[in-house]
Amino acid sequence: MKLILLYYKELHYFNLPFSALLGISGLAVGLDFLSTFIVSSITVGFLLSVYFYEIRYADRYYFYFNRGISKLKLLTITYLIDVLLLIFYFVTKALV
Amino acid sequence: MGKHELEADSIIKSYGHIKVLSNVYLKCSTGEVLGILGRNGCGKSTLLKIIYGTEHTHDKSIRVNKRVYSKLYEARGLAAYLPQKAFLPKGISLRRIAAIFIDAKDKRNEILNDKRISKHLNKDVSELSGGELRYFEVLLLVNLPVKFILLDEPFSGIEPLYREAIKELIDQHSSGKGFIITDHDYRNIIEASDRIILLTNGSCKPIEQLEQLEDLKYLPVGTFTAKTNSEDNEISELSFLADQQTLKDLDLFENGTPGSLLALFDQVQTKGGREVLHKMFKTPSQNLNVLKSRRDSIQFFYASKTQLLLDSKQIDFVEYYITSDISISKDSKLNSFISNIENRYRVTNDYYIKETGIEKTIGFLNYLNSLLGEFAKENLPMYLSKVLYEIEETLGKEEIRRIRQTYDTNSGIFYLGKYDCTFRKQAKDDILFLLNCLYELEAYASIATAMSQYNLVCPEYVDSTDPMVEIGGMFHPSIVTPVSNDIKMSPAKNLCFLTGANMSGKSTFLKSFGICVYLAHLGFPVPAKKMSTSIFNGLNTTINLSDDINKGYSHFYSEVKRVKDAALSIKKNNKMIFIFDELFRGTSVKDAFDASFMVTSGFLKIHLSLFLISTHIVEIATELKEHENVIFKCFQTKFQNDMPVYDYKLKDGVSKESLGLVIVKNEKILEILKEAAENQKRIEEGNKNI
Repeated sequence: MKLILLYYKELHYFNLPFSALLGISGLAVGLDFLSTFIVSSITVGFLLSVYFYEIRYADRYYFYFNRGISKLKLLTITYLIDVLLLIFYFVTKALV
Repeated sequence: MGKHELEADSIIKSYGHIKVLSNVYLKCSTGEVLGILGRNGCGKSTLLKIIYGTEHTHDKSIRVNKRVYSKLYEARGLAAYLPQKAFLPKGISLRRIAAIFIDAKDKRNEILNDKRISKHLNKDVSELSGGELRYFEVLLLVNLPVKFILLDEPFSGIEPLYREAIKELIDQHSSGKGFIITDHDYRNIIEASDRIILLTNGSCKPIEQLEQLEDLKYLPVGTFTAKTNSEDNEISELSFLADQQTLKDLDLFENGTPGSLLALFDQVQTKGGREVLHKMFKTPSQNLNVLKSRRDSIQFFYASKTQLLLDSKQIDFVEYYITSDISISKDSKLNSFISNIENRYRVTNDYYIKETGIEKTIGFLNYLNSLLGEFAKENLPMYLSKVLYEIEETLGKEEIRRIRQTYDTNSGIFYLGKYDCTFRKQAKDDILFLLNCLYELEAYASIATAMSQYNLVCPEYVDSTDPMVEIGGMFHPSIVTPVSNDIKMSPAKNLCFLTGANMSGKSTFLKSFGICVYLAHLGFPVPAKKMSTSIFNGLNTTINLSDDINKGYSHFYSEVKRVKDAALSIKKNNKMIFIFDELFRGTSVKDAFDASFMVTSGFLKIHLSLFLISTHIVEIATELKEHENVIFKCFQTKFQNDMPVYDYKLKDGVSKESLGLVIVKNEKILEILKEAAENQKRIEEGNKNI
């Protein structure tokens, strides 16, 4: 799991600032910052992070391959973490 | 631990219409290091990725212990892969990477306590030099609990010290794992590997002998084999002819492996020194001046017991730095200062190479200067005086002298650019010249050490048009307690007819003679007490001739071709030495007698070449007695308790002893066959009863 969290961290070096930027941009058109931020982080932000990671750091996948973790597994678990965070946020918001 | 086997079979890979790999098969077992060589773009990396499962192709069968895997990396515990580029994540310390990557505590501690890595544990990956990073990556992989490790260019672009360290790692872990490595640095791959294959035209060709790499056009001719006249016009007029069969017969070099003659002389420490020595060994000469210069230089090192106390790692690094293709710094104080600030806390690989290279180059220049002082005390031969004078002149050149005088380790802050620019641009040729001079001196020192260890002696050269060889106390250098023999040949006695029973020492004697002649034409010391020789055009031996399946030659036809080549060689070159061990052994006794007599009679008419012919057909001796230019030599055998006793001493005359049958009887082959027949009979009777 430590390895997957490391990948999650690496992927979100781009995703978080990018989604935050979208969140700030959303404020200008009256959208909620946190909602925009979270939706972006599991959609366009996530996709772009994967794309840029693939372009710039393709060889770093071998760090995970060498421990028997495939790319599909990395992406699935990383995405699931983001989706869980999204569900957690909306559930919390609904309850509050 | 049981052996495991990785097989990659039927691999085909195309990019568009270009087929990169066509039906590749390779096999690697644990405990083995398999090296893959090949030109740029031949598909080495693709092959490794296909095996590992990260490159897709429809046509492949990857098996480990006969079980097929589509993606080797997904099966834990089977394989690890080192890609060409760094694969470690940045932004975390080496200690943390080891903690995340390696589960086993003992293996993790092994990494943390590694002498080269322990001092960098709190650093980020980006703070390591290229060599340190590559070493750390390989260290992590070899400590994974996997059976096979695939290394793609582990030596590429890193400093020599770490190349050696990586080779050490591979060597340490190769007993329990199988390694498949590929790199363009063919020398390190050859050194690290147990087995080599060449990837060419999309398929794998196993390399049994390194010379095949030249035949398959992967390396230039002369890298492992001696250049022949036709291959090198520049040296053709004065080179001494020795063909592949001769080199093989005399066990001259098998890439310096133990057992070859070259290995006896190869006691150099630097890579450059080794290359110079190997080149010298592969280029025998007819040039009397070259031979005398070399011989006198070796004799000087031998007599004066001069030792070169070299720091081989320093010298190797200097050559690497001077010839590296990293960009040359600008000769500017401001640029040097900025570069120093940029690299103060995170040293880039290029900066590290420049900084260390400059320091080691200064050390090398100072070492050479001190060496001049040591040599000045001695009575130098002419050639060495010339070499040392040239070294002194080069060291005295303005740009080199000024740097040596002003350099200190702190001056790099402002002057790194200037030093780098001087060493790798303005004075590059001078530094390379100085390195070559040192390599040559090291090669002489190494030969002199071997001369002392193996009781060799420098030959005397006779400047005469008549061919002559006189050797006293000649022995074979690979035999631990050799018996020495004397031989003298001249135009008046130019054919030595050698007889003796099996195992009496004929072949060893002929090889010793061939070795002495070859070494004398290198200017090297020879295995004898004394030797005088005139200069010959070449040496041609036929001792361990085999059939040639590729050409469709039987053993006998190979012999015939060999004798024909000898005749053509005599026609072209006057002064040759020919050695034939058991001429025409591959045919019937009658044909062998007739053919041997006919050819020997032909040789007797040639007075400017020397011939040594051994045979078991002693009847020819009777026919040859009337010829004055034949000397009859033999090895005799005594019997003690029905067992042959050999003294290996060369005597005059003809030996008519025949021991072949005695040797066969002594090996009790008939008794073994009798027992086998009885066993079979018992089994047959047992089967009948059932």
